Amino acid sequence: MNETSLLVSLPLIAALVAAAWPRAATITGVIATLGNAGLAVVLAIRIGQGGAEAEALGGWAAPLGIGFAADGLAALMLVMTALVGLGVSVQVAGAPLPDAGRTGQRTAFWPLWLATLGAMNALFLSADLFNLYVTFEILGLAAVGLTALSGTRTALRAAFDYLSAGLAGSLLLLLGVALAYATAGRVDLAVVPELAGSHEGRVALGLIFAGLAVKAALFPLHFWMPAAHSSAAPEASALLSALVVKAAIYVALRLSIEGGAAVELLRLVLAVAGAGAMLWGAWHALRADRLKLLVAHSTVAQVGLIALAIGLTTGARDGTIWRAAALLMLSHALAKAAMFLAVGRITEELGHDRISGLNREELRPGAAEFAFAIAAISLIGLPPTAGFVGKWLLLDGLIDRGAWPWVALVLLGTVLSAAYLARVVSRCLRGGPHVAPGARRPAWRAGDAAALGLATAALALGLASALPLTLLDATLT
Amino acid sequence: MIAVPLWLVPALPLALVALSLIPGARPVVRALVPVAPLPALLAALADPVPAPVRLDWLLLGTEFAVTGMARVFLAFTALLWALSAWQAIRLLAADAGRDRFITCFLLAMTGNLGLLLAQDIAAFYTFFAAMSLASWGLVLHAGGPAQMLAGRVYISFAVAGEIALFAGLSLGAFATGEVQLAAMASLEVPALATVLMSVGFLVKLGAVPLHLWLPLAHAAAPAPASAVLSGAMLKAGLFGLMTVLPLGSVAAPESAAALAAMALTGLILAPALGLLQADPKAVLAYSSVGQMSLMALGLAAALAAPEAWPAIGPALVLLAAHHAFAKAALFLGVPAVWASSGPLLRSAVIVGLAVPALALAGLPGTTGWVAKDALKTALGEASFGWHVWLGAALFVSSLGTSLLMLRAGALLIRIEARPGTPRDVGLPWLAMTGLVVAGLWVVPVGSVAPLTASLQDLAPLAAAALLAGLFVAGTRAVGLRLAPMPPGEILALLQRAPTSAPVLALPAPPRRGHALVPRRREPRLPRPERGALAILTVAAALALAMAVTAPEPPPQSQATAPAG
Amino acid sequence: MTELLPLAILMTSLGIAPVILALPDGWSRLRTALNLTAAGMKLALVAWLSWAVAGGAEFGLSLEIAPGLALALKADALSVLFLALSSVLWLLTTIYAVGYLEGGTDRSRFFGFFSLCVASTVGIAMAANLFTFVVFFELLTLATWPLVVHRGSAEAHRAGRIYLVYTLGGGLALTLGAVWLYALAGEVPFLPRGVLGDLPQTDPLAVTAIFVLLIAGVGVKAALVPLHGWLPVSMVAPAPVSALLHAVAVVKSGAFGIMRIVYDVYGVETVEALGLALPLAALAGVTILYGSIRALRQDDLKTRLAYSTVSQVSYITLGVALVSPVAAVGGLAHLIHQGIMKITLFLAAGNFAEARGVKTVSAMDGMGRLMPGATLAFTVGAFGMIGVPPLAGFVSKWYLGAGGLDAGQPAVIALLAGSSLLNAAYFLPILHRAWFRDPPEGAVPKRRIGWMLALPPAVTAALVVAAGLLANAPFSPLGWTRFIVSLEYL
Repeated sequence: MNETSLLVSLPLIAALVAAAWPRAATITGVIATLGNAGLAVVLAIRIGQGGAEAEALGGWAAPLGIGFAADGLAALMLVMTALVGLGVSVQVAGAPLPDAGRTGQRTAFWPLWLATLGAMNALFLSADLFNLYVTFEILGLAAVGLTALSGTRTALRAAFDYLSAGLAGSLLLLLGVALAYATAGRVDLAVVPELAGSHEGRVALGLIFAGLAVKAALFPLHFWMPAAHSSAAPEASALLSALVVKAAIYVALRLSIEGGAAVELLRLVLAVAGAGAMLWGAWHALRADRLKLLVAHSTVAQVGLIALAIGLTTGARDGTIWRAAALLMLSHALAKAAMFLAVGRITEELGHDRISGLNREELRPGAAEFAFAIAAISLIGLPPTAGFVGKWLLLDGLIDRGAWPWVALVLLGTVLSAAYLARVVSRCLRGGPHVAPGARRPAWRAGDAAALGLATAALALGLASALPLTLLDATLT
Repeated sequence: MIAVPLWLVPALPLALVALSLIPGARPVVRALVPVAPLPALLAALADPVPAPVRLDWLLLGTEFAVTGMARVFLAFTALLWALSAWQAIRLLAADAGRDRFITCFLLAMTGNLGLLLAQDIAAFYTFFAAMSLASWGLVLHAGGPAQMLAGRVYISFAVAGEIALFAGLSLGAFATGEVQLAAMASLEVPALATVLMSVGFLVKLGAVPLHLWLPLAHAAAPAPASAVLSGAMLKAGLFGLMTVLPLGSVAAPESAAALAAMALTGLILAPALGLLQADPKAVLAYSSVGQMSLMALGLAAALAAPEAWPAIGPALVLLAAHHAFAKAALFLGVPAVWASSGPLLRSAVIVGLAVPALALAGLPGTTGWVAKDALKTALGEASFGWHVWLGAALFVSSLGTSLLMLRAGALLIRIEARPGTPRDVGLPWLAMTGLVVAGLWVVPVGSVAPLTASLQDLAPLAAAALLAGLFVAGTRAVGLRLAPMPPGEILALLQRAPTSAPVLALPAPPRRGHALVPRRREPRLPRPERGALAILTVAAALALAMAVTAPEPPPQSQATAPAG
Repeated sequence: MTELLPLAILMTSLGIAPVILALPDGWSRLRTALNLTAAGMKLALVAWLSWAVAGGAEFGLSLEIAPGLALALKADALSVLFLALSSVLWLLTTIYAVGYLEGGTDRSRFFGFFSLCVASTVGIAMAANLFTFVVFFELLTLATWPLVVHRGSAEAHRAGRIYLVYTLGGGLALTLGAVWLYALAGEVPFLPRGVLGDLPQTDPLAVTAIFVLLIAGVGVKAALVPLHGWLPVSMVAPAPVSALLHAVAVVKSGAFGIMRIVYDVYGVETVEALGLALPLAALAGVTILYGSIRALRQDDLKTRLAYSTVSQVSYITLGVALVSPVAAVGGLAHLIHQGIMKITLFLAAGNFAEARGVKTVSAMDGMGRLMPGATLAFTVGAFGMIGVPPLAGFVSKWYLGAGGLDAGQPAVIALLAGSSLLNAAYFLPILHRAWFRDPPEGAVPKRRIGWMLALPPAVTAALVVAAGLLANAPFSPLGWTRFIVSLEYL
């Protein structure tokens, strides 16, 4: 067994353990998450130094067997998942015990999270379409579980919507994969250009992309997402928004790189949908009056930006734009997770999450608000965060291509994101009479560590962008 | 004579300014103010002249030297400042704002003395500005409405003059590539630069129509300040003009005519307006306008006839020195009149004041007569288009001055005594009167040729006396009185329109700031039915789009498994 | 070790910012000690650095964060000019702010962002390429915003919003221009006489558009008309912040950016060849007059000073845009001169407001008698602004005027004359009221002005006098700018 197999098996085994033995769930979960992080880092270092590697499970080589391939992009996603997972785990594991209402939630959290983690790791390492479909199924179910975790009425309703949408997406995906197999006789990722050569193959690709669009909550198929992400527990929202959505985006990126010029039309659709998402999400975020809803809509907008970047890649291996997209995914994951965790803390402090009630007199803004602000800076794309470097590279690539309308759209999206995030950040520094009656400092002051840590990571990543970017050089096509 | 390092001339008053920042040291400063111009006096009287001083680190590189006619200017300026300072500290001994006054006084003194020594543009401009701006404080000192008006007018003119001077010096320095002040008179300096510099100096000199500030400021300032304003600072304008105008090199008939027009207007306007004033200090101020116009006329003549400059120059310096002493004596005499309560003392003071007054009017035997005669002789040597008018102009000047002196005397006799005035304010006045008599032999003007008086020289005085007598008799006969003019000439006619008081109103209702956030309403989250429809539509559309677009030809090289 | 000097200078303020942010509000002694130590250390390090740079040493550090993108610091003569200004004034403003906010709330936040703000300024000063410049420029926006809204009132937030809209908008333009330039030219380091090579010949249109974007981006902070709207509004901030915004950090960064773009990215010859110098100079001229005219009508003291800043900062731009070494000397020297003069004015104005509650020009009556020290400092600053010799402002104006003639633009003299006239028109009435009118009856002090509030304006006023009086001395701002200009215009 090497890291690749361990990365898939360890979380899944740990999930079973945690589910079977709830009293040891926390410790199992923490150890598994830590171990996973270690493995991901080791793998990333090895790939960064030695280049991509592939492994055929059961000794059957592609195009027939279940292949695992670990290259730079996959390693980056693995590390991203591991880091965000670590932050969220710290938050969940460290929550004070006396909070009786949440104990059940916590034990249920671990198996679901570990299953999510395992599914995501498998997804990133998969080298064929069918594998991807399977991992999507596991991921979708675990994610619905995470959504429903808080047990509230709205959460359950949102989870049901999520489940339905996820199933529809999976069906489309399955249909596409089946059609692809029927057309080309194989399902490894390198089949994409071949698929694009025939009518049936093209339909298959179209269906796969439609499925991915549902899973990624891409405009106009995002309807399930704001409700799901805003009604789940903050820790679950962090995972859903930062990671789960990325799975579909990752596949879309993979397919566009593999497809090259052959999937030009799909990329165009992706870019247009991304632009639509960016504007739509921003508009709703501007209008949102609840904090979590704002953050959830911001995810729609940010995913749109990433989709736009993916849609505008030229498919070339040495292109700048897809690197930018990968970097934006990474930075969005860190920042959005930090933001949801911070929102959780703020909600806990104030007893509500209405934006109009965020100003306070007695309670001075603390670490959570600070983490939120840093995350916001990264999402807007201001230096020195990774979001800034990502946007810089994106604009660089777009200008290189002379794609000025897209440059204008990206800038517009930036302005809008600044506008809606400033609504929150400025409230945090405003005095005034709107102090919520339930306002109190949570007893557990160290609880801000996870949010602050993730936000700082997003900030520091800007200065260390060379690391992920060199890792991406080891990406296969 | 003690050899005074030249840097001490501006440094001593500046040191006193610095010292006055310490509250405890202020009595000492007050006592030392009259001594502050002493280094300047010593430098002016030293023989040979003190060695030049170069201070490269100061400003843009500074040089101090006593050159040519600056010596005379330095001598009478220093004397004037010393005696005025003496009177100022006595007159304002009980004044609440005396320390403020003394600070401004010292700064203006620094500027006035320093500009006579500065050899480079930056230092000259610095001292000139220090003098002009610090004098603002002298004008404003008493703080009444008259001072407000005078201060506003003064500072407007001063700043405008400064800026014109700055612009002119910049242009001149750029054209010549020199930073020496002396280079500003060279022929390489563009005409615009010379005009701008001259405007700056003419404001200071009080040439019509740039004189509007002068009567207001002289009337508003305390008497010792008026004495230095009129006696010393106006001369700085003359000094500047004599430095920057290309005198004695080429004939500039147009400029000469323009300057002469200003001067002649001044010669006529000054007595005309001055006679209508009710304040003796304003009358004296108009007399200064007239006298300075006379000096401007001399400059104009020299511009028209460069060959006459060697004669006109010394005559102008002589006139300047004479006017400085006489006018300062008159201004310093005003507090002496205030202090004289008894009729006997009052008469004695008025008699004493007659000395400078007659000197100004050019009574034979006085310094005024000597100076005017020198100018007359010098102008007589020049010959150009309008020189025939010069004699008439000189006569008008003397006549006007004489009338103004009579008017001032008449006003001073009736002036009310101010009981609070200390008696010893008369001492500096007496000293100054002494200088009126003997001043030209104290300051190094060179040899003054002995003159013989002729009866003709009495003509202006006699004419003035006759006119005044006729006027008084005439008004008495028809029972009329002269209504004094409001101060400020045409500025008095211009008044600020009354501003309507703001209407009291409630503040506007606060606007909602969130322009980007429209109506808030509960967002409707679509249910799965709608979502399913959307998914199907999108999927179908995508598949259809892919299906109808032309497929790409299969790739040439068969893609291999993603093995590294 | 010495090659790390720029990093050390950056870290003196960047490093303590998080520490101060994390300190509990009540620990004011420790916070003050930290602040002052850091400021003092920075001053010493900058002194060391300037000594080394004057001796010909070069410093450079680089961290590659993406292919072709590097965060790089360097210390050249121009950096040192700005560094010296920011480090001296940081120390003074910190002292002032400690005194000003004594007993206030949120002081840890305030001083944390204060340090961050100075760190960004230092970063801007030492940025070795356009990318690094953009990074620190944006960081500055973010670090100053909490200071602008520090009071937390609705008015402060309105100002903060306007500030953000302007500066983030400018940042966007700057970023776009920078990215575009990187896309065209590859790396864009700052080197004397420009780095564009033959790009302006091959693609003049794009290069011109980039110039407009870049200048618009930095022009927001430099308050060029019509991008100046945020500056007067942000006057609601506490006095030390206003001082920081106006004298040290924000507007200066904008002006410094214009310098870097014109000198070290494009090169003056290129800017002139593209026909961009004259429009920029004209814009600066319009700003100079516009700011002064608006200042005339303001009764609020700080707003009047703000419009004065709008006007005065454009002197720097004017000096850069007039393609002439002499004008450049004037413009560069004004970077320092305007800084020390304006900070003097703001600190004194802050003292008026703190001690007597005097915030408007019409309430200035008799301040000279009530607060002679602060009024004297204010007077020195005001006369300096008007350009009265021998104060610092005169030196700048002298060189700008000569530079205008040198560049064949005699209109500059008229502009300077008009501006000086307007400056006099809006400053002298204040001085008149302060010195020559009687204080209102029964005026009582609101609070005592301790040494922490009284000393900084006195020191800066002394600097204003010294910078003008000793202009020809070797280490004066003027002497240093001559050194810089000799590098650009060799």
